[in-house]
Amino acid sequence: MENHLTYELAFEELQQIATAIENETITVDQLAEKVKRAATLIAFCQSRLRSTETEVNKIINQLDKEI
Amino acid sequence: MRLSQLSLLIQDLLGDAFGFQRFWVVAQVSNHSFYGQKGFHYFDLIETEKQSPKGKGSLVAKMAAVAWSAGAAKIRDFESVTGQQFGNDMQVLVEVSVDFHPVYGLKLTLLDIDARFTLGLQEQQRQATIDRLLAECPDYVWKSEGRLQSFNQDLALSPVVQKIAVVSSRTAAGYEDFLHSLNHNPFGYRFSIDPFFTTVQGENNAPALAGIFAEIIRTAEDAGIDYDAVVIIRGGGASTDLLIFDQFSIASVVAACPFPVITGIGHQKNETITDLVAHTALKTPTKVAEFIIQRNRTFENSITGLQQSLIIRAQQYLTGTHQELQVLKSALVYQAQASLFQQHNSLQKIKSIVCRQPFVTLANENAAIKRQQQELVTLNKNYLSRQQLHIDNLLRLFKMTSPEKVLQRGFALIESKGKIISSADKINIGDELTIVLSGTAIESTVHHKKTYDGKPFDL
Repeated sequence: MENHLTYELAFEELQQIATAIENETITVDQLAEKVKRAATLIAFCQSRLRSTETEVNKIINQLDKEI
Repeated sequence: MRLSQLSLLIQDLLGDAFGFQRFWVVAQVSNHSFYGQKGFHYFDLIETEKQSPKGKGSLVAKMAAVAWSAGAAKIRDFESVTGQQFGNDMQVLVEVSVDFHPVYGLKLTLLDIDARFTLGLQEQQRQATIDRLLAECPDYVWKSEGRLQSFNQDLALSPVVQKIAVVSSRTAAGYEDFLHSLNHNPFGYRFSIDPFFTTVQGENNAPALAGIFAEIIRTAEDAGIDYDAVVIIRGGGASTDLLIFDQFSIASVVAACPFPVITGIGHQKNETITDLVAHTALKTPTKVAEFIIQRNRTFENSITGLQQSLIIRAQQYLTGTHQELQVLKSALVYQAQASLFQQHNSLQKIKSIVCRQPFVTLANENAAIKRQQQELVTLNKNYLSRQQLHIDNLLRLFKMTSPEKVLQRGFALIESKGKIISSADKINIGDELTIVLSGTAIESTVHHKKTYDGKPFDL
């Protein structure tokens, strides 16, 4: 996975791919490649989301203890 | 005649003329002496020719007088009503009897003394002094809405009175009362007290008392003290002599004093002029002490009140901020989780699109190819059958135009020298021609040749 990939960038690209696939503006030649790319991006986003969720929950628990 | 006989004669004559008679006379007291042991007053009653208000005129009349126990009691009443000690230079209205004693001579016996007369005089004098203050000290004393006002009254008395200059006599019980009341206050207030001792009674002591004020101002300047108040107290003792405080010299320095003056000089009825021009006039030294303590107490209470409202405000503010923070916190927690949830959803949606859609796309493509194939098959078939039809038509046409058919319809072929001819140009007369009909050949010779313009085929 490339460096400096952020959730925002990944999600944006993912949306573009999804829209293209949905509207069938992707040729069959590109399809496999794009789906592969999408799978990579989805995996990235999901792991990012999960780690963020874990972190947020940890912070919230900490907050509840403090206040 | 013996002296005693003459004396008795005079006594009789005078007794006849004045016995049991009483006279109200206006006179001035002089040579006064008081025998405390017996309680008798001895004095002269004099009348002078009036020259100036204070100046002594020449003597017009003079008679010795005495007040025995009864008269002395009247004098005590008089003193308590007028607030003035019976004594020299006092203008009085007295009721007297005329008595003659062989040894002591002619004497007036004081039977009663009219306090109202003296009060009236006092009042006149007071008024004169007030008028003089208004005339001579317009910067410090003036009248406003009928009331006497002074520079000293316009001074602001500090909310907390701590640095005090006290004007008192050194031995006055009132001074001790004052100190005791101040220093033993229940609130633990401390005071810085500078005493300025002088005699505070007796009209003759006015210059000394007035001088004390100059000393206070000087001391304040030298030591850099800004007195919160100057307190004049006069206290204890039986003396009721307050006339010194009606003196112009005292009233004027009090009116002009740069520190607020509080009096506690124990008047019973009329306030003295000093009281009128002082910042605050109170009855006794103890009252002055109570006034000062109460004033400081009021200030402290207001501070305590402020402190309490400060605490309450601060707590309210903290509570409010705390609540606000709680609201923000729950909003943060909710929003963070909602945002994450939404991202999950979006991602899930995209994921399902990415997972499902390619198969749809591929299926669509596949269907398109199949359609294409089907189309091709169908087209082929049609094409071939159309071609067949075309060929059939041509065949039929060909068949219809075959020479046999033509011959059968009545047409004939003409051959010359073994070749079918279609033009008569090369045919000459005498040429041998073969006419071929259906199933028959006729040999012939040309006899005649002419241009023919008939149109038997013009259908």
